[in-house]
Parts: sequence; C-alpha cells; structure tokens
Amino acid sequence: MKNNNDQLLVMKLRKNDHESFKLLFEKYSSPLYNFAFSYLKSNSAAEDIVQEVFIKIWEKRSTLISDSNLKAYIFKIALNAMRKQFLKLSKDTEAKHDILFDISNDKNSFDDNNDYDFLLSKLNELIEQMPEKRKLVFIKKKLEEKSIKEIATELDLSPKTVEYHVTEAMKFLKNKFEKLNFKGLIFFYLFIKK
Amino acid sequence: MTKNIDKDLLIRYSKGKYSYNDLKKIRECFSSFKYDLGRYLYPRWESILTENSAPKNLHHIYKNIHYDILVKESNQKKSRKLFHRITQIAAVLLIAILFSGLGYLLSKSDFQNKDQFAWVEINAPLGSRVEFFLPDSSRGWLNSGSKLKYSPNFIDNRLVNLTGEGYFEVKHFDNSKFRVSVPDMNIDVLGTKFNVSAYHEDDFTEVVLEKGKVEITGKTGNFNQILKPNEKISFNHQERKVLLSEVNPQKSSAWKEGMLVIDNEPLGTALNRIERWYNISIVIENENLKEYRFKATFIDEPLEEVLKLIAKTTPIKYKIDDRVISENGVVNKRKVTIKLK
Repeated sequence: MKNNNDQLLVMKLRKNDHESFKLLFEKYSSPLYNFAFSYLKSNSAAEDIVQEVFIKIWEKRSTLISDSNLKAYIFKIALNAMRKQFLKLSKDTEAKHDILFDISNDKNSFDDNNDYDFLLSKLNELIEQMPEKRKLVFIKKKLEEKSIKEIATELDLSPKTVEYHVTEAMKFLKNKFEKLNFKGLIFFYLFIKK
Repeated sequence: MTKNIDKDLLIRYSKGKYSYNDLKKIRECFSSFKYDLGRYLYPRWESILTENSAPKNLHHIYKNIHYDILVKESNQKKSRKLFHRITQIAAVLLIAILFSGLGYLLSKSDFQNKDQFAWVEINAPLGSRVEFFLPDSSRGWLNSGSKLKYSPNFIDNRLVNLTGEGYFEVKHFDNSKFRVSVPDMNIDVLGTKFNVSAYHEDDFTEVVLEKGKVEITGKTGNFNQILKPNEKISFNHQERKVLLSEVNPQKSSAWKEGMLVIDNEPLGTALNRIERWYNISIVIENENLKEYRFKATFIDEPLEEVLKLIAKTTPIKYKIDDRVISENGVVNKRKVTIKLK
C-alpha cells in the first residue's frame, strides 16, 4: 500500500465518497488499534481511539489536502486522543493498583516488580470470573470508589450484604494470587531478574 | 524546555514488561506536554503500519460511525429540501381546501349521515414509502405495502386502522386519545412518536416508542402494557408471547428516511423486509439459514447490490430469476432464491 493510494482515497473522500472512507478504515483501523492498545492497555480505550480518529477524519474531510501525509495526520489526532484517555483512565489505574498492593505479599518491592502488566490482566480476568452481583458490588466499591451506603441504596441491598460481597471478593482475589505466586511468579522472577 | 524521555522504557512498556513505577512515568509523559512524545512514538506508529499482524475485527466500530454519518447526511438533505417541502405542503393545503369545499357541498346535499361516507384510506404501494397528514395535524409515514384507514368523523374519534408498518407523530390534545388499531392490539396514545409494525405475513407485531407514552392492550385481553421511551414490545401471535426490550428507536424508524437498517436480526425476518422493500419474492431453500443473525445498513442501494453485500457477510449465495410473463399476460415479481453457500 503506497501513499499515492492514500492521495486518491483522500481526493474521493473530499467528495463524500463512502467507499473510500471504508477503505481507509480497513487500512488504518487495525494498526491504529494496536498502536493505541500498546500504550493504553485497555480494549475499550483503544476502540474509543479508533472511533474518535475516524469520526474526525470524516468530519474534517473537506479540509484534508490530498497530497499531505495521511498517516502523520492520523498519528497526530490519535496521540491527542490517547493523552485524553490516559487522564480518563488514571482513576481506574490507581484503584487497581490499590487492590493489587493490598493483596500483595511483598509490599516493599511491589512497585518495582516488573510483571505489573501480567498482574493487571490477571486482576481483570479474575474480576470477570466473579458472580454477577458480587462483581457489580466490587466494581462500584473498589473501582468507582462509592460508599457502602450508596451501593446499598443503588442496588437495593442491605449494607451488611454489600460488605459481605466486598470481603468475599477480596478473599477470592487474595487466594487466587497466592496460588499464582507459588506456581507462576517464581519462575517469572527468575526469568526477569537475572 | 522539553524533558528527555526514557526511550527504552517506552518500548519495554509497549511490549508489556513494566512495573507500577514505570507506568507512573509513562502516565507523566502522556499527560504533560513537557515531553516531545510525538517524536519518539512516530517511528513506532510507522513500524506498526508495516507489520503484518493479524487484523483486529473492528467492524462494529465502522458500523457505528457509518450509521451516524448516514443519519447526519439524511438530516442535511432534509433541511435542503425544506423549501421543496413548503411548496409540497402548500399543494397539500390546496387539496385540503378543495376537499373541505367538496365536503361542505356534500353535507348540504342529502348525505347528512356521516356513516354513509366511506372510510378514508391511505395506501403505500409495495416498494414505496408514503408520508401522510391526518386532519388533526398528526402525521407519519407508511412503509411499503401498508394501509391506513380512518373514519370521516376522525376529529371526534381519533381512531386509525393500520395494516403493515407505520411511524406516527401524534399531535397532543387534552382529553383526546388517539388509537392505532392493528389486528391483535390497540395502541392508545397521548402526544407521542412511535413506530408500529404489523404485517400479517410476519410472526409478530412490534411497537417501538421514541417519545411520550403509549398504552398497549391485546385485543383478546391477554396483555396490557405501558411503554416507556426506547422500549419495544413484541407480540408473537403464533406463540402468544409478549416480549419487552430496550432498543434504539431511530433504528426501527430509519425506513422513513429511506434507510434499510438490519440490526442483529435473523436472516428470515430481514429477508421478509427486503421482499417488501423491493417488491420481489424470496425463496429460502435452507430452513436453518433463517436464524442466522447479521447487521447491515443500506441506503438507496439497488437490489443486486444489497444481495451481494449480504452474501459477503453471511453464508449465503443467491440467484435472481428474470421476470416471467404468465399466461394471462401479467408480469410476475422478480424471484430470488437463497441457498447455503
């Protein structure tokens, strides 16, 4: 795929051609997703980037210059969108760090531990495995940082039940991560900290 | 002053080998403009473009964007057509004046009893969509092959009979109900916007509420339901079952803008709609194909193009037969045969 191909597509796009918009999407959406995901580490955030960039390309189609560099233009919009996503995600990142720190055995070296990516994805995976109600309570309490009382009224549960779900969820996570520590992570440490 | 960026860290991080402290540094790079992030990341973007990694399926995102574009475009066309519309309305008004004059003359004559007037009927022939205005200034659209009837004393008793599919924008009047009657239910409304689909060849009757409030009563007294905006009620008359769900009301009434939207619908019901839309007859040879669900939006596309696109996204192949002239000289509908690929 050469750039002059892009020039042709941009020329047609300026004339509201839907087909060339589709071709541009097919060409750039997947690399764009991979690029965004490699820094944002979140599927939904990376998908948001793809959506935002292509909506902008369509909206600005009349100002696009056909001999300009389209991939640089996409990069520029994407980078700005990614900066915004980073800010949006920061609360979620902090909340997840608190959970992982809470259940970690080795708190001294935790923040320098190089397998943070693995721990994060494991945490996301385990949250998904929780029973539906427990998952909902847990997300509201730990990720959205709502109070027990708020959650109780929102979900029409007693505060005691809410507390019970949170405790059980934390126990479940701690248990699973301890097992991982024995099996997987020891190998992981040896491998990375050679 | 731009600060330096740890290049190795950026690469390590993107490949998933990092600690929490690394993540904090990366976040700092992205959230502050003190770093010349673009210079470091652009080579990475270029290298991703040349990589041959497995493509991620993002078709649902394309569909979302494309649907919004189509809706926006049709709204723009609408405003451009406003002048055209005004002249149309003037023509309609002129006809209305002529008719009321006629009505006056008739009422002066022997036709005193209103019941002797025939019901007024609005028809949308197969393959067309028709906009209508009612005497109480409610309005709406009729989809292909649909019929709307109302009695001459409509103003006193706002009752319409619908067969097929219609979209209504009902004018609100205090203490005056508006009722849409379809074969298996009554829909009672105050002022509101909603879509009704009650084709007799379909297994179900559906009502989708966009705005306001409607009350739906089964004609055999089997159910009664108040509908809220964005809700859809679907009554299956074979299984005698009522189903309530959340939907996007714009999608179910997109047909009035000339769009054929198929939103995760089984092939069987989608092809029923395409049959009506293009006034053709479709034969599905493999029964189990009817349950295959898919999504698509078509706007002003010829039949051949629509079938070609469906064949791309679903496991079907198709054949279009030429029209045949029957013995009595009638040209038959075009016939399309659908088979499993």
